[in-house]
Amino acid sequence: MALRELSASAERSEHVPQASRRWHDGTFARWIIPWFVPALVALAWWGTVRAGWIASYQLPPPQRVLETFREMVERGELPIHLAATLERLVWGYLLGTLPGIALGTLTGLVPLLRRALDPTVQGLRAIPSLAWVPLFLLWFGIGETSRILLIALGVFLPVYFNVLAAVGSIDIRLIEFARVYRLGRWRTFRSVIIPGALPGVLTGLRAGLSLGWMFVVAAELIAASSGLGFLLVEGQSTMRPDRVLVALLSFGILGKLSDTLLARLERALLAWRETIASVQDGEGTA
Amino acid sequence: MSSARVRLEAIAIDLGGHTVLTDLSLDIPAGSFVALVGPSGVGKTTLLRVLAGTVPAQAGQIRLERPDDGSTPQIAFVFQEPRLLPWLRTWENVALVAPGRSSAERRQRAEAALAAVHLPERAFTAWPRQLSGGMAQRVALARALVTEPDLLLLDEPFSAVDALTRLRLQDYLLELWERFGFTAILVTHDVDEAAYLADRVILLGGKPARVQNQFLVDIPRPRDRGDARLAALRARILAALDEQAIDEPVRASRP
Repeated sequence: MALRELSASAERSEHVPQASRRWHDGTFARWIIPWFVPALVALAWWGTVRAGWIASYQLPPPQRVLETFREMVERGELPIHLAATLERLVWGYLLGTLPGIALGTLTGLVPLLRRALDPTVQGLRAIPSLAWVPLFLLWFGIGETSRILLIALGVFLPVYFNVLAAVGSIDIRLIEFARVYRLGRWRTFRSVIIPGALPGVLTGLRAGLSLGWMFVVAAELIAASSGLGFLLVEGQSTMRPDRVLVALLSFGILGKLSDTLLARLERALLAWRETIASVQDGEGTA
Repeated sequence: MSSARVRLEAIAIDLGGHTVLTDLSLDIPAGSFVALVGPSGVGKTTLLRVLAGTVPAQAGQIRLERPDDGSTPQIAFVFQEPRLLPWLRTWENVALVAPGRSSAERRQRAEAALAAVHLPERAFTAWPRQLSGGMAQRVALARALVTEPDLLLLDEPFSAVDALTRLRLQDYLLELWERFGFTAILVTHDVDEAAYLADRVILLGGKPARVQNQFLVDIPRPRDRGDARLAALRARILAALDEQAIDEPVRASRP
């Protein structure tokens, strides 16, 4: 049999006309271009405050916010609040994702359980999660328990629904393969169900994380004496928009960082989906 | 590797409340190559599933045994599509079902099976989605082979690849069958394929379906695809199929 050694890139350059390279395709340009808009916004911000269109007690200039940021870091204030927020988020996230994954998998695999449980959980979804706040405060008091449970609830729902959908969407033909080849329950679960559901599970984890951030703010706005959400409330009541902006920026940076981390994890775990280059064979040429 | 004798005595199969196959009796000698043909939807695939044990028969007896010791035979299945697990590399797909105590041994067996289907070595570590249709189906064949089957069930395994690849895959299959000696039961729509590969072509037809006709392919191997006897047999099978297919007549010259 004749084997042809064809690297994908070599073949592509032969047949596909190269798109002409534009000035903004370079690595440096790719890095720098996304910063144009934020830089413009900062400039406009600085300009408006400088021109006196907005009073600086309502909107402090950018350099003032940076100064406050530096001060808060130096005094150890910001790290303490950051740590408080992160700790809540981590506990709430774990308490939401682990039952979400477990219950989603179970209801996805056991039809009886799905019929019994899913309508109730679907019903729970109809209630906006924040509407639970008063009840949680009544039940668990204004304390760490209420906050963490509220975050957990917010995280649980998207994780549960995504995992349930992911388990249900596994190719039935692969399950039949597992049956015909007598893989057994455990190996079918480990080699077919888990990897088959993984893409959807990861989507759920990312959706859960973004809701986790939302609920950590909600929980800290309502009742807290520490955390970035507390900084927001405190900045408002003490008329310190610079501190509010520092808290907002911190949320933005942390949210983006945590999502990037999950996206990396996703790319590492789903390498089998990423590949494009194909292996060529001499089939049909000999 | 050994082979399996397959005996079906008056079996009936119900699917979704109505009888698909009835009063079906077959005796397939160990080590033979049998092709099942018949109109679409006649229940050929269902019969394979019954033999694989994933669909129960409602009546009759199914006896699958190794003739040498009467033990239960090892069964492997090749589906119409490769059905490889996309998250496992080529060799891992095969090693997943390979016998063996250690993972090193299973990998070794997997690679031997992949070599037996003439897969180029650099495809061993590729992901399934990087393989062409013909290569992926060869991996599926290797995966069946690595289980050391006594009985190999094939459900239109070459229907989704291009014509030239199909001919090559048919020859690979024949080579493996001659080398390992398993019993092969092939469901196909391709009468050429059935006549070229099999010792016996069994025609299923009717509603509910039963065995309508059996054609012995008494032509020694290696066979020539242009052999006049093959052409004559093909015409006879097509004519018999034409009588079965009331809804979709097959255009064939009646003898």
